[in-house]
Amino acid sequence: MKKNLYILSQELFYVLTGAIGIFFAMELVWERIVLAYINLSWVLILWVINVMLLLLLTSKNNENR
Amino acid sequence: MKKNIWKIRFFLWVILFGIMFWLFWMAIVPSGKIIYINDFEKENEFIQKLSPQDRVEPTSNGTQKIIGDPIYFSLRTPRRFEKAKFTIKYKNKSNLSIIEMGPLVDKTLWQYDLRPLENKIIDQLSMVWDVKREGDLILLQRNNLSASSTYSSIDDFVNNLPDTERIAVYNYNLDYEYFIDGYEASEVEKSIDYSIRGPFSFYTYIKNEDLNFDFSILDINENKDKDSVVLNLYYDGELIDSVSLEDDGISGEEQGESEFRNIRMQSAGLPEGVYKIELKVNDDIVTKNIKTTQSKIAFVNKLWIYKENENVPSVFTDSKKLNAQTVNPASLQKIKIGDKDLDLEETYKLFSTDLDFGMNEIVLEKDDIILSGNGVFSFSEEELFNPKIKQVDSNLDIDKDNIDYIISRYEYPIEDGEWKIAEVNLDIANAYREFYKNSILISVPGLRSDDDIDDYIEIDEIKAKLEGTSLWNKMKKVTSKK
Repeated sequence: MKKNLYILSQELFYVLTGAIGIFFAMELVWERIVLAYINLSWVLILWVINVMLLLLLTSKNNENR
Repeated sequence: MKKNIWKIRFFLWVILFGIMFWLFWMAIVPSGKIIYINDFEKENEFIQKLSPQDRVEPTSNGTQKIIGDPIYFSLRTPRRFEKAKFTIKYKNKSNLSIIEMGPLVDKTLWQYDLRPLENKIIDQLSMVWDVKREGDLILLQRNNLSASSTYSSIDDFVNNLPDTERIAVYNYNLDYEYFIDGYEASEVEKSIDYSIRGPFSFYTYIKNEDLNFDFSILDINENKDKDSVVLNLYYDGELIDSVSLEDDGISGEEQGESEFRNIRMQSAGLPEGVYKIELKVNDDIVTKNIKTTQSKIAFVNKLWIYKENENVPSVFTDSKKLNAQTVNPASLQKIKIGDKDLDLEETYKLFSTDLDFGMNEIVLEKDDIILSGNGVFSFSEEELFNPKIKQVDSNLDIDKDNIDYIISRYEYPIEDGEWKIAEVNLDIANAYREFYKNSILISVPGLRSDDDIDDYIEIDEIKAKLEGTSLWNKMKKVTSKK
């Protein structure tokens, strides 16, 4: 269960990091194409929460080793 | 395990690319059609908030009250569209006569192309007069007209017009000829030596004479923008000639007036009739002098008489309501119009008074004053004439003005319980657009936020149905050009 959660959190980290990069690039090219529909602040908050969860799970993995 | 990782990875990235694709789809609008709705529950990205703040009340329970006129909002679109059909759900319990809206079409002249949402005068007359309708075109005829004065159809009316003094129009360009009986051309050049600030337009009349105008202008360079000058000549609603002058070269941080420059509009061999001349400039341009051989000059709707004139002019108008304003504290004054007085007590505030029917002389104590009204203005009685057909607005008195016919392009609003729903089609293909936004104006003449009357328009919803070129048609155009 913990391993699955770790994997999910890791994959979510990759996707959310990619999303933030892609959304910022889209905004640079075409103003408000993303912001008209998606509040990037919430994406960033989700990314930060996910990073904290990932770090917690990583440190617990290391302890168990 | 690896299989599971790939499954999760694939699933998440598909969602991300799906969201990206959807965002591009919503921005490009491949079908060319999209609908945006503002229900006043929360801030809207596309139909933005109503302003200025002192003319609206805060939103409450999903509605917003407009308490002053006019109101603006921005229509923000990720790409250009050609047509916008606005549907407004509103209440007009204060029975305000006219509600209109339209896009900004000319930023220099600050001109909006207004279209009707509601005209209570036409709504009420439709209940008692004879109504003929063809599509969105309606003809109202007074009921007690003789059989020979009553028209069986709109076509019949348009092709056999009665005396134009008996007609009023609303949102309709009536094709008619205006001739002045007994008019004789003058070869004597005269000079209007009063300074006029900013843009203006006027009607003039030609019969067996050349059109001849010479404008002496000055750029006061109060703002840092470039100030170009464009002079347009219109006949029968069509632009037939145009002359322009570039900026004087003083711009940016440099200040100071330019030297006098001249711009001329001359044309020979013109048919008899009414012509309109438009000086398209910003408020940095002052026209110090107009020389002409024409004997009729009637300024349309607005005149800003600037300062430092040798004599303060009297102005003649046929407007039924006069508005006056000044931005100069030294120009606060009491204006006399017949037996009425209009006290300008504050700068930047619009003061108004109703005027008697017919021509009125406006006697000013000081200059640097902006006069406006629904008629025309001239510097002498002899120059004044008004070729415009009367408009169905709040200043029209159907009986006093002897109106027997009204022709209009107008759709009645629909009742929906205590609300009304009005639709208006706007052409935004050539509207002024800046930073992805079109400025839209809602006009409610007579609604003032600074009076003690509790009148307002309450808006529940604004819906914009936009139409433009589809992606397929755009690609066909691009490939056919190559």
